[in-house]
Amino acid sequence: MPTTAPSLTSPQSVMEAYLAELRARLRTLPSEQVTDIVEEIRSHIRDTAGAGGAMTEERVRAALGRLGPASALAGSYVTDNLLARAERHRMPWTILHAMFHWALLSVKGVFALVVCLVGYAFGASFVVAALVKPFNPKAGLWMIDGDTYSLALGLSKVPPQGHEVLGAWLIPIGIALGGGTIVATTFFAQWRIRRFRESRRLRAAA
Amino acid sequence: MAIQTIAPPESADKWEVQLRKGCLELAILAALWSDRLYGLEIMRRLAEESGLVVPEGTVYPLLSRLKSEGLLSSEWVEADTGHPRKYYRLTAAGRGRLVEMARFWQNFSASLDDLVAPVRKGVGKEAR
Repeated sequence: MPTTAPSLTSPQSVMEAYLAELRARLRTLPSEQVTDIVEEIRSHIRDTAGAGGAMTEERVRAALGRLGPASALAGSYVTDNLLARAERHRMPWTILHAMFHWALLSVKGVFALVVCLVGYAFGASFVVAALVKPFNPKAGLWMIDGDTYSLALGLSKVPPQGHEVLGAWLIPIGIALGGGTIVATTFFAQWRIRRFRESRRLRAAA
Repeated sequence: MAIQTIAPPESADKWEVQLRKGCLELAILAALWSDRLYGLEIMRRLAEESGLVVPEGTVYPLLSRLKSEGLLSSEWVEADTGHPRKYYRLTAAGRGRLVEMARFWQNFSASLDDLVAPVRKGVGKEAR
């Protein structure tokens, strides 16, 4: 290692400031991976700014310039990592987490996030209603005033003008419809994520 | 004509950029075919052997993704320079994927060559 002691305005402190920002912006990744990335970039800066001599502040700044802003560098790691995980895993939570990050990047991401939120909420409410039904007969799909459907868990009062539509059928129908919607939403999300990652991959090297 | 060679039209320029980007993954995997290399070496090899100059800030996240997809593995190696370097090598899956990609690439570029050959000949004649 170079034996120069770091002073306040040393090339090292410029590099460390960059790496600290990078580390901070990578915080959503597992800490092991963050250290691995930061050390790799540190090694890269030392190679490019210190090749054939000591690092000078000017050379460090030039090296950092070629790497681009720490925020942009961290952004490509974080988004890609989250979306890659979401593509492999089927847990709604993982998918929504990744979608939320994507929504911060593009309008298409916002659209996909909204569709997924609606899909999961719709699916989950049917599944929950079906699961509650055996314990609470008031839970069910209620028809109110002859034209409005309302899914109820039977926790509040029974609507006076309504009647329950499905009866015990709520259990199989609710599980099938709710579960199906959740699965379909997941497929939709993964399809959108795949498409987005493909387009991003092309843009990544611009 | 000299005028034509100064700057290609913007659309051709964009097309070139897209093409280079599309090939980047193949190029990185291919650079690692026989050696383990660290990030900067990979970039240097791409620049020297294929004229593919890639922004530094895009190679590292791409390497990280290829690793998370199981195509590459990495290890830290202490170097004479005093700081360790992160070396990448192909995994068995990466090797298999690269062979597939290389095969596709060869077929694809050969058939495009055939298609483009008359165009090149035609341009040669016009120039004369």
